[in-house]
Parts: sequence; structure tokens; C-alpha cells
Amino acid sequence: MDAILTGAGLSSGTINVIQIPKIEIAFTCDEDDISSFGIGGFEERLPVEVVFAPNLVKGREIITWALSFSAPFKVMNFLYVTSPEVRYVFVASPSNTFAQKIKDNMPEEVFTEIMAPNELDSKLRDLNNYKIKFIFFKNNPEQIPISAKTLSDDAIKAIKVDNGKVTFYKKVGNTFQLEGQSYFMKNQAESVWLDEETLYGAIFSEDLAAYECNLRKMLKRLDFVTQIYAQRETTLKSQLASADSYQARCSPFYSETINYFQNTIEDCITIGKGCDALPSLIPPIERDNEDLKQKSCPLLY
Amino acid sequence: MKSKAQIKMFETLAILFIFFMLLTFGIIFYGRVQKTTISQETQEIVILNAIQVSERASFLPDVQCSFDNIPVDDCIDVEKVQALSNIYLDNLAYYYNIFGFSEILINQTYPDAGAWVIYSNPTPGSFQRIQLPVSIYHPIQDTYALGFIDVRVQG
Repeated sequence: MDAILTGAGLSSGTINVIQIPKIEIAFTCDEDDISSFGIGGFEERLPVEVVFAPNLVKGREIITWALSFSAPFKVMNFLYVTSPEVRYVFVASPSNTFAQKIKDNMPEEVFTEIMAPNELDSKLRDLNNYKIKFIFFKNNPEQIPISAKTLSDDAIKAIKVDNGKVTFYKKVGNTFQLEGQSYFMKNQAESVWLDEETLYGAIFSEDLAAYECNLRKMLKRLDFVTQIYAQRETTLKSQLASADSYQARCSPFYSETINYFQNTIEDCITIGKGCDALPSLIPPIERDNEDLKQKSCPLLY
Repeated sequence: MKSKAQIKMFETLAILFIFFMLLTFGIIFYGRVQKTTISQETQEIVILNAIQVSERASFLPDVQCSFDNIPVDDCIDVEKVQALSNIYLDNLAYYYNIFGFSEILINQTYPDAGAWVIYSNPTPGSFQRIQLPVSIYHPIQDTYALGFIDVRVQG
């Protein structure tokens, strides 16, 4: 299983459907941000890999999907793991093209469907799935659809995607209730840094805790990768300045934006400050890189 | 009658002796076969681990070449390697999770010789070695060289 996850996570954009014995694979993420998967009482730690998965994957097949996460340079591959027996229900109005795009980009092998909020009770049928995840776009999750009421509270989870934020809900009785406090935001149960790769992470994650655990692992990885790019930028700037006149013209265009980004990441990790500003620090790096490309200078990334 | 009984007893003892001899030979043989099987399986695990480490090293964004965020396979950026060699020692616990007890070097062979350490955390003992050819990019000169990644994994 470890070799399967390693191999699946190396090439981004790849989808693998792996036949397995009829076993249950448990995915967890503990308080020290070490995630692990367990089969039959045996556990394997995943200290570095970011794997978004339900807490239980069972069946005769598992689906793995790898996407590259960049900020703006490639940081790592995210691995999404699920089972064809888990159902993902997208709840959005027919005019919501974003919701349709997110659903269509998911692997075909994953069980997905889309319906309008007022169609949940009439169109959603019980298909004996052991887990259902509702993804609401703009609408607030309120009542559990009729056909899902008989399932246990652990079997039903929901998220709401709106304005670049994702909010997590859990089933309590016949209603959806907000989950707990978020690490990144002061508002209840809202997590930021929403691009498509992290949105899919929210869709595949079991709950807010698992999602944020993986986001913190991503941040740690981002910290190290950014340190490397920051040092590289500093070296390029200083060495090009003392190179021949043609190359020396490039030196002023390295404006240390990556260094500033790296310092903010460290503040976010160590003291929890500036985390919500991180996404806004990416466009300046992209602009600098574009400028360097136009001037035929060595790129930042 | 007495001698008949004695003969029977000796027969029984002989049969028991032969039985226990065969049992002993069986246990010794089985033990040796198991030892060989375990040794082979251990070797397979070590090789698999070495392949995993070498794959991780080749595809690691920390050292892989990229141009406008498009990664280039089988290419190592030498400035990234130098930056990583400066930071991994302060974060050995983190990179140990990726590379374990191993040593990963970049050896440039053409046009000039050169060597850089990506990661070094070996332990004494035998190791499994894998070498993968790569191109080595020098961003300041904007030139490429040839070389290989040398991965030595303890096992």
C-alpha cells in the first residue's frame, strides 16, 4: 500500500484504480500533523505526504488521483484517495457553471452527481453507499435529505463553498451543524486558501480536522520549498550582478518577493499570523517571473 | 517370552529413534529454507525502498528543474541543489521522512566534473545503490551538463 501511494503521488494528473482485497483502509491525522493509514490493525505513517481521503475507504477498489499544487512554483503533489462506494453529491443551481466544472473535472471513476437544492428530497435516492459527502455551492446546508436520514451521523458530511472559503458541516440527527473552530480563520469552521487543488482536498477530506491537518503539512512543505527558491533568487541576483554586462542587466529584476513570501509563511506556521494574506503574495512572484521571462533572464521558477 | 518382549521393546525404541531423527532433519531443513526466504524478502524490501527513495529524489520539486512552473523530468537545477544542501541539515528530521537513512549525490560527468550533496544521513553497514542519469542545469550560465544521481540507501 505504501508503494502504491508513493507511485500514485509521483505523477500529477494521474488517476489509478487499484483492485484490492475486500478490506477497510482507515486514514487518520493526529494532533502532531502526522497522518497515517491503517489496514487490519497495522498502521503506516505518512509524515510528509498530503493525502485527502475519507476516514474509511472500503470496497474492492480504491481510486487515487494526484494533482500538482503550486504556489506559484510547484510545491508537491496532493493525493486524493476514495472508493467508488463513496458518493459525492454536488448541490448547486443549474446556472452555477463553477460547480459543474468542479464536478466534471473529478475522475469518472468517482461516484458524483449534481442536483439543485430543491431537488434533494425528490431526486436523491438511497443507493446503499456507506458514505455520502454533500458539496453545497452558496446554499447553506440545513435539513438532511429524506433518503439520507437513515444513515448514521458519521456517514454524512457536507461542505459549503462560497467566496473562496469552505465551511464544514456534520450531520447531527436530521440537520447539518457547523463543525468546530478553524486554525486559519477566526470565523467558525471556515478555512481559507481555496484554489482548485485545495477545494478538492476539502471535498475528499473526512472533516475539517483532517483537511486542516493536511493543509498544515502542505504549509510545512511550502516553507521548505520556498526557502530553496528564496536562496536561489538571492544567489541569482548576486551572481548575475557580477557577471558580464548582458547578464548583469537581469540582476535588478530579482526583487526578493520570494523572501517576503517565505517570511510570511514562517510567521503563519510559528505564530499563526498572516496566514490569510499568503494567497495575495503569490501574484507579485508571478509578475516578477513574467518580467524575467520577457527579458530572457533566468527565471525565478 | 522374555526375549520376545525385549525384541518388541527394541523395535519400538528403534522406530521412535528414527522418527525423532526424521523430525530433527525436517526442522533443520525447514529452518534453513525459511532463513533463505526471509533473506530474499528482506533484500526485495531493501531494493523497493531504494527505488522509492531514488524516485522521490528525481521528482522532488526542491531540486527538479522547472521553467515557468513546468517541471522537466530527469533534470536537476544545481542552484536548488546548493540551496537544499544548506537547509536540509537544519531540518534533518523532516527530510529523513522523505529519504530515510541514505545518501543522495549529484555527480556531473560532462563537460566538467562536479559533485553536490543533496542529502547525507547514512548509517554504517551495507547499502543498496542506484544510479540514474540526469541532465544538470546551471541557471546562471543557462547551460546543461550531464551526470547522474547516486542514491545509496541503507539496508
